[in-house]
Amino acid sequence: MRLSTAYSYESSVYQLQRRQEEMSKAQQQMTSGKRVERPGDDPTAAAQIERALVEESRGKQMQRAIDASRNSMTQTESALGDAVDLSQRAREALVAAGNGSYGASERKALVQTLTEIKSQLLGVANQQDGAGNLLFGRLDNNSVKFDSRVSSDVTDASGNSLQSSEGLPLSIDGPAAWLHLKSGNGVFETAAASGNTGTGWVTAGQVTDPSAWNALSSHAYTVSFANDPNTGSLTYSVTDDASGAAMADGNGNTTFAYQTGQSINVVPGIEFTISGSPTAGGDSFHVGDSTANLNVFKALDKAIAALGSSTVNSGQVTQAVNAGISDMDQVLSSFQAARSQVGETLNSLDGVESRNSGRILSAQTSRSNVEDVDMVQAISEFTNRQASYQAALQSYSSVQKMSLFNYINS
Amino acid sequence: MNTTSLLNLGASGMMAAQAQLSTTGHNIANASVEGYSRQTVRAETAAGMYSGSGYFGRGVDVRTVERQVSSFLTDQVSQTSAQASADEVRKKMLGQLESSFGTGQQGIGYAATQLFNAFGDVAAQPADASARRVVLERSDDVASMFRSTASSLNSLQSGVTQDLKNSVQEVNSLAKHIGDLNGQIAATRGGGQKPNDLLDARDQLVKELSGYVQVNRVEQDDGSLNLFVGGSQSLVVGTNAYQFKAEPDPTNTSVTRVTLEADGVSRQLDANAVGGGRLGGLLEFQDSDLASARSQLDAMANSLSTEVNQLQSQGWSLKLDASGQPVAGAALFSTGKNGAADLKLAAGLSTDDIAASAQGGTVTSPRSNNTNALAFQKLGEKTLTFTLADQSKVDATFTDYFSQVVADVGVRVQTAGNRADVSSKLASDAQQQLGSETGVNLDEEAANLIHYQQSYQAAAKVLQVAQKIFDTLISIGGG
Repeated sequence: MRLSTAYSYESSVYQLQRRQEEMSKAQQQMTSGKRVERPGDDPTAAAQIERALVEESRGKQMQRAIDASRNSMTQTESALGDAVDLSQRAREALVAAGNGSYGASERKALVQTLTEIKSQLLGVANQQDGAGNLLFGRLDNNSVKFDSRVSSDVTDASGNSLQSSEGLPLSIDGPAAWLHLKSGNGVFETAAASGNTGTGWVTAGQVTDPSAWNALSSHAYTVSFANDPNTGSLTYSVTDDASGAAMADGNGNTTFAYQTGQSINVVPGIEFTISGSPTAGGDSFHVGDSTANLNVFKALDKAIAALGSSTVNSGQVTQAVNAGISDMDQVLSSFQAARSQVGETLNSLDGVESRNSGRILSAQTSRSNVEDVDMVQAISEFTNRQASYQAALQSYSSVQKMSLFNYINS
Repeated sequence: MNTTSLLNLGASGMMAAQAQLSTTGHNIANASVEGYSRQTVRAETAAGMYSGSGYFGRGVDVRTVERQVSSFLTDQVSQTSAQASADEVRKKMLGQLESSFGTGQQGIGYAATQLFNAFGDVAAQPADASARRVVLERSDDVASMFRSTASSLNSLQSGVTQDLKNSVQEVNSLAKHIGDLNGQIAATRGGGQKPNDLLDARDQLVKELSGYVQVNRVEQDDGSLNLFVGGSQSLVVGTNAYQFKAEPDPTNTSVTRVTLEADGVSRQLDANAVGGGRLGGLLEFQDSDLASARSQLDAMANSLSTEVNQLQSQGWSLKLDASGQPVAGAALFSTGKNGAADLKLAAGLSTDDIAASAQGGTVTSPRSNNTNALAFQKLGEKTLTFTLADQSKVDATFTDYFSQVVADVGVRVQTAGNRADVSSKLASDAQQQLGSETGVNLDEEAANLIHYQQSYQAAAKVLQVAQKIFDTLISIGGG
């Protein structure tokens, strides 16, 4: 086939340009390290890169949420530690107040201590993180503080804690930890009737058989006292508040001789102790279900009020001390429970963090897999292109020298 | 027989060789002129002279100078180069479109994700002014990214408009030129010889015209060439050349339409009717690629701003009304009729305007509720509805849709690149075939040069012999 000289020039120059373009593209890939620089290079890969990038940036956001959660949980943990110490001190003060030899003035000093501890506990309860969020706030009324008003009148319902996007807690449920503790010993509570005139006092008691207690239809009982008509000694009987019937022991007795410090176990499943000298006919003690309305501050207030009064008898003091100690035990166990919950959260944050960094890494890996150039391949590609460009240049220069005119001599 | 006839024979040989030499010279001179067709001298043996002893040859006659022509290949070159130039211009424009859409960390998808993530930080610290400030900054960032993409699409459109206008001018001037050449060629008809160089010039103009618009050619008996566009629309008829016009579309002034005016009737031509050439490529880019990119961008802007503003209105900001009640969040984005180009961060917003809190119910203080901020953050994973310009709807998450748009542009670029590669290969093949048929090969011309020079020398030798014979005769008479 004959070749048009003009065309062959044109086409070889065009070919040279193509080779040069290919070589420069290979070089560009090598210098940028990216296989896909523009969507047109590989549309599917470009879309994958977009998704991986977003995945990665979501992972980074998640990491910030984890950090925020960890910060506030660490602070909460240490605040709960403070709260435990303070409650422990309050308990010790109450134990000290039980000293039979103490008079009103000694008790006054202890009341002072308890008041001090209460205000410190309020400080702990209202502690904020760096951003002004209450550590023990809860969703929606985070900014309402535990103030003295709350301590006297508990209406603040517990609710969900503030959470970040992935359900990571940013605060714990403060009202549940501080305001809605179980009263009594956690299962039932005992109390002296307010009009008692004797020096009798009741312990918090304990559960001996949970299933027997749970099986009872009624959980409200009254212990009342009378003098035995025959012997004149003090007896007691326990009545079911719901039916009005007296509780009988295994032998069918319903009236029992009272002995101070002897455990009363006529109600199935539980036992408690009444000590001191109750007044026959007037004094009574109540047993009821534990309720979730024990408030840390209110419990302290109650003990402070009882111990600070100058008109109390020894039975009332002992009752107040006893109730106070039992309340503080509940407070301590509530704080411990909250603390272990926070510890568990911190633990699980570690798991979430490691999963999340796995997620970021896998997003980065999949982005790199589609986007980054394989250096070995790129280098060999470039060497290839370079060789073919060189060959094209050489052949062009040698072919273009050839012409018949070179051989026409004058 | 006499010596004079020998002289005539030598002279006719010399004349023929000279004609061939000069044609070879013409070929060599025009070897690199685009559109030039190789010319050859058509020589014929002159009719013999009868004598009693048979027919004696009377040398050679130069009949005509021919140009090598293949109308099939010429047409093929025009058609393929029309397609190649359409694909080439579309590929170039798509390359620019591709860079208008930033990708990766420079992309709208990433910027929007950053915005959603910023709401995550607000969720962690609902009352924190600095986290809220970041949300405002990110919103501004997304909005400005939409605007800058829209403005680069607009400048692509104005580039297309300008290019269409220039191309139309070029087409009009080429058509007029072809009409003029038709006139000149028809005028030479009476001479019986073809005006080779004029024909070459006209073919070359038609080829150049094909670079702008695909034309069908119909040759007339008088030698003039009629050109049609879009199947049947006359562009050049005889010496008449009709005019193209590029004007804004009456219904949508942002795009440009091309019309052909013939005999007072103007007909709009779309990319299909234009068929190929630069005009075809530009129209296809404008009506298909650019329009779709615009529509996708606007759909993203509308969907994002609607969702964000709606969530704002469903939540409580930190601002209080006269009675101390929290108020719903104000719109974060202000929009206009131009979609992405009008998307802005609403004026006068403060950090308190971000509605991070849910409304009503148990919420007593919007400072400590992050429900709405979490909903904002979840927008990144929520399936949104994107409504395109033709009212078709796509349901996808923002990231997925943006990836689709990027992939869509990428596929267009890739396809256009492949098409351009194929069509330029076809065009260059056609050009090569035509070249091998009609082009000048300098080696061939060099060979011809030697060949015709030898013919000339041989014919001159005949003259010399005739002179010697003459001398011999004269010396006999003298002796």
